[in-house]
Amino acid sequence: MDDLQSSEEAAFVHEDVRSIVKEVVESTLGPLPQGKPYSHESVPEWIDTICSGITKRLASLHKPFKYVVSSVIMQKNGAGLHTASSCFWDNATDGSVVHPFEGKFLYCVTTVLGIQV
Amino acid sequence: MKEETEVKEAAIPNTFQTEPKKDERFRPADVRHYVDDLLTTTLKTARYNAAEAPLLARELSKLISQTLVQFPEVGYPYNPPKEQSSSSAVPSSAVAGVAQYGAEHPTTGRGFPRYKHIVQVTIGEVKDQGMRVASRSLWDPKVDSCVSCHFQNNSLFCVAMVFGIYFE
Repeated sequence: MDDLQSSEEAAFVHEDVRSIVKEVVESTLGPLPQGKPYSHESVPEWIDTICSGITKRLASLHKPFKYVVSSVIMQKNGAGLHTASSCFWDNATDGSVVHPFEGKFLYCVTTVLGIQV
Repeated sequence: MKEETEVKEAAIPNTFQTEPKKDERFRPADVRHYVDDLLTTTLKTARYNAAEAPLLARELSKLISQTLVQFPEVGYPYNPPKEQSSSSAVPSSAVAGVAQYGAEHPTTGRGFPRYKHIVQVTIGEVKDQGMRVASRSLWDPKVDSCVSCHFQNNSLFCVAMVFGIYFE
């Protein structure tokens, strides 16, 4: 366990996670700047694809982490949306990535939080 | 001059403990009670305001996080009924309401030791739009837990999610 903890392997690598999130979100919601049109029937399916897709990709990194992935999809009609998070954790090992996606018809904010075991 | 070169290693003995003790577990029901009460009290009369909402979301998540650090061992922080009405003055804004709620519900417990937590608050405007919030986690379902509360009035909605994650 010693070599694991001392090396970079044990740290939360923001770049890797960010690229995973970006890939999954954009492949689900269509390429920017257009994106898919908002459809009430498909949203549960999209959001499930995003959350489970990211979780699976993160799990395949084989790192000593627990992950929380949360995602908000909102139809774009001028209404405001704000998210904030407070975390009580170890700054050195744990980390978070927020990926805002703004298409022509919807907003999607995806947050990934990684906590070392 | 005497130089202090000796750096002491922190001598924390191994506990060989891989599970929380029975009375140190995360209690989703009590946390839910607290967050529900906080949201209904502070947001009952709030109107959506684009300038104030980011601050409101931040203050709410900060207050919940601070309370969790000192969460009581039994039950949840509640406000004992008071006779005098001096402290129940109507706050000027929702943000002031959050601060007032925090002052009226002091906590002195030791929280959930060996737990890390994450509080995520989403505030949005109600404008007939479609919206969905979902989350998925990769963790140990035996010890880790989450709470999700929502509140809505005719101007804004608020979703608060709390994740309690055991740290071995």
